[in-house]
Amino acid sequence: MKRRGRRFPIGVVTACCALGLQAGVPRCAGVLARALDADAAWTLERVVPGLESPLVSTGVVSCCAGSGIVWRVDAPFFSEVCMLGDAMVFSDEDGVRRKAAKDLPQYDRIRKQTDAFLAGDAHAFDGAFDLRACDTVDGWTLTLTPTVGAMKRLFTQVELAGDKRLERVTLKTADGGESRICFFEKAQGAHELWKGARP
Amino acid sequence: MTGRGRMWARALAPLALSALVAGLLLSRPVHVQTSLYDLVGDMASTVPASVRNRSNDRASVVVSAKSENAALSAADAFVAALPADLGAAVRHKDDGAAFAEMRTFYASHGSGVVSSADAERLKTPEGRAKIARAAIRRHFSVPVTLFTPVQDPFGLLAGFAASLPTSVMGWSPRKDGVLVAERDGETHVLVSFTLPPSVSGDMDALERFASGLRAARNAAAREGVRFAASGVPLHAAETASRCRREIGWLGVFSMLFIACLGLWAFRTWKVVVWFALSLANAALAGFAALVLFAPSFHLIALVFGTTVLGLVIDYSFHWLLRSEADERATRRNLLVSCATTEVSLVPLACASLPALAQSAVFLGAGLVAALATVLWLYPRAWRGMWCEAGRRGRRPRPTCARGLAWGVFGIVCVALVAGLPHARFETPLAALYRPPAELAAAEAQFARLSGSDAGHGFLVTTCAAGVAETLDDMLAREARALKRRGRRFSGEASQSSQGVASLRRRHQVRQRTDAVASLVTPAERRDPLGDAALVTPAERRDPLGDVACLSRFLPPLAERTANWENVNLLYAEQGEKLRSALKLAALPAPEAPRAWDAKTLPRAIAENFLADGALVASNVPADAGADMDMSDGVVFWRPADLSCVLTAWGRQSVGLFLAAAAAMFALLLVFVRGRAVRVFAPAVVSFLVVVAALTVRGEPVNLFHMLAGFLLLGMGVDYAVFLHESRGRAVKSALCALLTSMVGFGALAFVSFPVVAAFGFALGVGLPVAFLLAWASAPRDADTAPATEHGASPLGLELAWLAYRVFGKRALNALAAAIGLCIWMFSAGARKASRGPGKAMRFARSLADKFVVMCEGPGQPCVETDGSDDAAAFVADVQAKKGVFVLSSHCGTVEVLAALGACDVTFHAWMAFAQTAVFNAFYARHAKRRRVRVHPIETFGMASAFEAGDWLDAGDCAVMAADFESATAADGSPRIAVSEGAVRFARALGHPVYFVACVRTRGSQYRAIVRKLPTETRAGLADAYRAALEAVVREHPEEWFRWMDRG
Repeated sequence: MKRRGRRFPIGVVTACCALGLQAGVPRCAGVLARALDADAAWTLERVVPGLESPLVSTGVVSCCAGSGIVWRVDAPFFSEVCMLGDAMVFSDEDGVRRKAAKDLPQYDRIRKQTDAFLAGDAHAFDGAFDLRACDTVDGWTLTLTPTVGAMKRLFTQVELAGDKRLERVTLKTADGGESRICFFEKAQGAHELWKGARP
Repeated sequence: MTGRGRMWARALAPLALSALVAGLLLSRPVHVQTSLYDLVGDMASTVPASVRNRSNDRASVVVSAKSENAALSAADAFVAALPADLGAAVRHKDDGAAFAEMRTFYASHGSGVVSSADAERLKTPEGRAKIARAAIRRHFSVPVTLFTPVQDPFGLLAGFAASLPTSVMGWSPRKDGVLVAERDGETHVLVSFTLPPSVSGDMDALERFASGLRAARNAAAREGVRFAASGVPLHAAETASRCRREIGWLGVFSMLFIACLGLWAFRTWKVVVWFALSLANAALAGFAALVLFAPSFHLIALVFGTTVLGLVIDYSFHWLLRSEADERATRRNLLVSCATTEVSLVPLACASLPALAQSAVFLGAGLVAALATVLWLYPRAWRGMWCEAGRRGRRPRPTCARGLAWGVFGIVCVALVAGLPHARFETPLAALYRPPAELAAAEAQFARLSGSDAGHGFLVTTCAAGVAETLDDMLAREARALKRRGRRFSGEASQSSQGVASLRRRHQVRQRTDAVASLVTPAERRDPLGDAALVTPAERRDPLGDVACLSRFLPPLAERTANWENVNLLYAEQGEKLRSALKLAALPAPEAPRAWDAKTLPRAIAENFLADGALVASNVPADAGADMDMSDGVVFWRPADLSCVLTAWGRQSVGLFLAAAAAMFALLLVFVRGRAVRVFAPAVVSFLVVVAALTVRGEPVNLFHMLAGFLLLGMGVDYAVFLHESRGRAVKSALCALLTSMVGFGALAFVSFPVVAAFGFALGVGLPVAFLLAWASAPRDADTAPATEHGASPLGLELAWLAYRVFGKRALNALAAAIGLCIWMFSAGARKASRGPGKAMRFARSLADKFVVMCEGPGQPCVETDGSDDAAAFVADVQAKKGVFVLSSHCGTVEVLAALGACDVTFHAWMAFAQTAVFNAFYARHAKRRRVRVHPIETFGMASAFEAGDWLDAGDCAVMAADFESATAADGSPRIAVSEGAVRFARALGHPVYFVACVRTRGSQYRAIVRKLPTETRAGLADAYRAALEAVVREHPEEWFRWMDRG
């Protein structure tokens, strides 16, 4: 479950970015495309029903167009997820584990849909989300509501917001919880976490 | 009313009466059961109806392809191609709510629900630390999770949910209501249908639904895409379609055959009307009795009843083919036959298995009605219509049958010896139903995709209250049951599962069905969610298999309790660390696991496994694990139990069979007295042959074979009664009865429905064996032709001729010599005629030569005369076509005689056909010589005398034997008695008369001894003949065999 729980939001974010890119929203189109080839620091804050304080973790994400995404957690513990074209690699204090894409049907499907969308298929995600975009004083907001049961189990709404950069992604869950990811772009095209050999 | 009008009124009266009775009874609501579980009666009624057929209203179509797009587009095309009026089937759409419900359910039942991997990790401190670290990572790094940190601090529930099979977790619902899963490198799209009761309960609607699916599948077919449709409705539609097609063809074939047989036997089509009348009366009476007996009856009882109504045709044949002299005997035999069949059905009617009892009632009433029709209606209805109907046509020769029967008997003995010790009594599920290969493959694929294998099971869970009282009640009941069986019941009722388990082991209750029945009363079963129905794990008869696998979805309490102990350790060791990481004031304490509450089971489980309080486990692991203690209280019931029940009934039916056999034998002792064993044995032996045949095929004897055994017993006795009591005169009617039964029942062996095929096989094998054995053992009648003639049977002659064709004449001669030796050894008459076996062997060889001569055409045999003047004169007269009359003897052969002339003269010979029927029949089948014409002496009359004159005038020859008796004088010389009639006849024709005796020299060579006889006086002619014959006998005593010796 933990792997499925990880790959879904990462894929959703990617999908949402790609979707927004082609959705005809001029202000966020370039921003989202840029995000898919940038390095950024992130802070994840989870508001969980029943917990008094939110769960906060920090880390770095490094996107490399054509290669994949590396999502590294620095605090409160180390772990890393590398999303490649044909596999997902999980690294933490328990070791390194590789899962082939064919063994991760959801991952493989989302990745293909994303690739198709980025390649110009504007309808690749049709039936997966209801999309609503609007401009705000501070920038733009893109709201996606999942219509598919698998997505709906995990979250009820995803909201992307930013200005010149993708700044926030907010996921709301059915149990009333909320997860906020704040991005701080560090470099464009640096691919910092891609340097060196990747398993 | 005219006589014909009265006739038709009588004919229609019973029919109208039966229809009236049936109509009155039909005014009551009648329910026809179709479920296989209804076959077992009360036992199955304890299983909730909706559980009997898991998802009996659901059908699924899985579309598989290598790529997701291909699968989805094919599925879309399939859905678009579905007929609009698809039986109002409802497409099943998943919105994910069931999964959320499942999540809540697991979280509300305390700790202990863990995956197998986490259960292993929980056992060690290192593993527990690993679990804690993974939980922390998950809570922090995964934005959305299935369970909150409060619900699932260490992620154990999440791990368990991930381990659930595809049926719960793996299908991803789409917007349009199809489910998608990826496995084995393929994408599978699931389109589900739920059928309303109006469709699932209507066979026609099901067939339309199945054909609609097929049409849509064909329309959406494309390369690389596979469609697999499965579900109970499709099985039902396929079975109904096959049954209708096969039984329809069989019914038409049977009716046509019966009509043709009736035409052959009676030379009129009118008999078909009377057959139909008898059948209709029997069917109506049977149905009326069935409705009276049981307001709801099983479809199988109706099917069996209608198929076996072919028995009523037997009664019609027996009555219509009787002779006037046998009317009283036929009436008695019909009554005995019906009585014995009814007696054989009594144990069945009293059986606890409803389908058996219903079949027996239907058949019993039908047979009585048929008998009444035959005995009362037939004689009154067509008195005077025809009287000779049954006498037309030739009577089948019993000689062939006896030879064939003894051959069959030999095969029977071998089969019995070989097969019986290895016979098995078992009724597997395959004996009830075998799905078509395509459907079976689709079911297997669907089960595999859904995370389950073939095999299903049911568990009935209950609440935990009321344990003690129920257990005591059950133990008391068990004690009573054991006491009845004569076993001692020692031990006390214990409320502990260990005590009960100990009791079980000590008393070793083997019969699974009895144990299940005795443990839970029907009342308890009907309220499985109440407090009354409860059985401890020790009561389970098979704690393995499905229970172990159901724990994948509902881990048993004991397992969860064991896990919970390790979870406590996890909390103790890692709880503080987790609490501080999550910044919780306090980490929730692990909650002790609780028993499952069937009322709150989640839909994800319920839709797949639960209905009306029963859980269906859908997997049977290959290696059954340890005994799992489910102290929730479960009773285990699965479709395999149905097989056990039916197997137990099949074995118990052996006792019923023996009881029926004993009752029939007792009845036969009353009616046929000393012949009871002889009459009864063929039926019993035929059943044993059926058992042996099944064993040779590697099949067990199942319940339906036993059911056929009851009928085989009754019908076998019928054949024996008619054949024995009529001393073979009723062979034609019995043969007609056999043929109709073979066509009606034997053809059922080729039906694809296993129940019906088993029935047909048993009767198809057993009936001819019973008939032949009855025929072979029936006493001979003086008027019937002997089965053999001087030891030679038609079959024996044909076999000998075949040996000659294959191995040549030397082999034939050797075989003939051997036969002659056997004749001399076992025949007192032969030993009286000859001290040594030489003469008999020589005679047999000459007989073989005779047949060769008769059947091989010109060129045989090699004949030379004795060189006398008379011989030369004979040859000259024959060649000159003067018309020679030959007074011959019973030694020699007319074919040899005919070879003397070596011309185209025809030899006309008179022979006694009635006394040489076997040989004459052989001759008629094979003879090729056209120069020899054989005429029966029995038809000799004035016309024969005129014809003989014409033959002789035309230059042909006539041959007649003039000796009819023989005796031996005190000095050992033969004394021949000459037929005065033959002498007068020969003299009266006015042509040359010769005596010719052909003696066999060696091989196929003969020497003709010829004497010209004086014709001046009759006495002189007779004396000369006598002297010539006596001289030949003295000279060649080995050629003289006094077959006509009346002494």
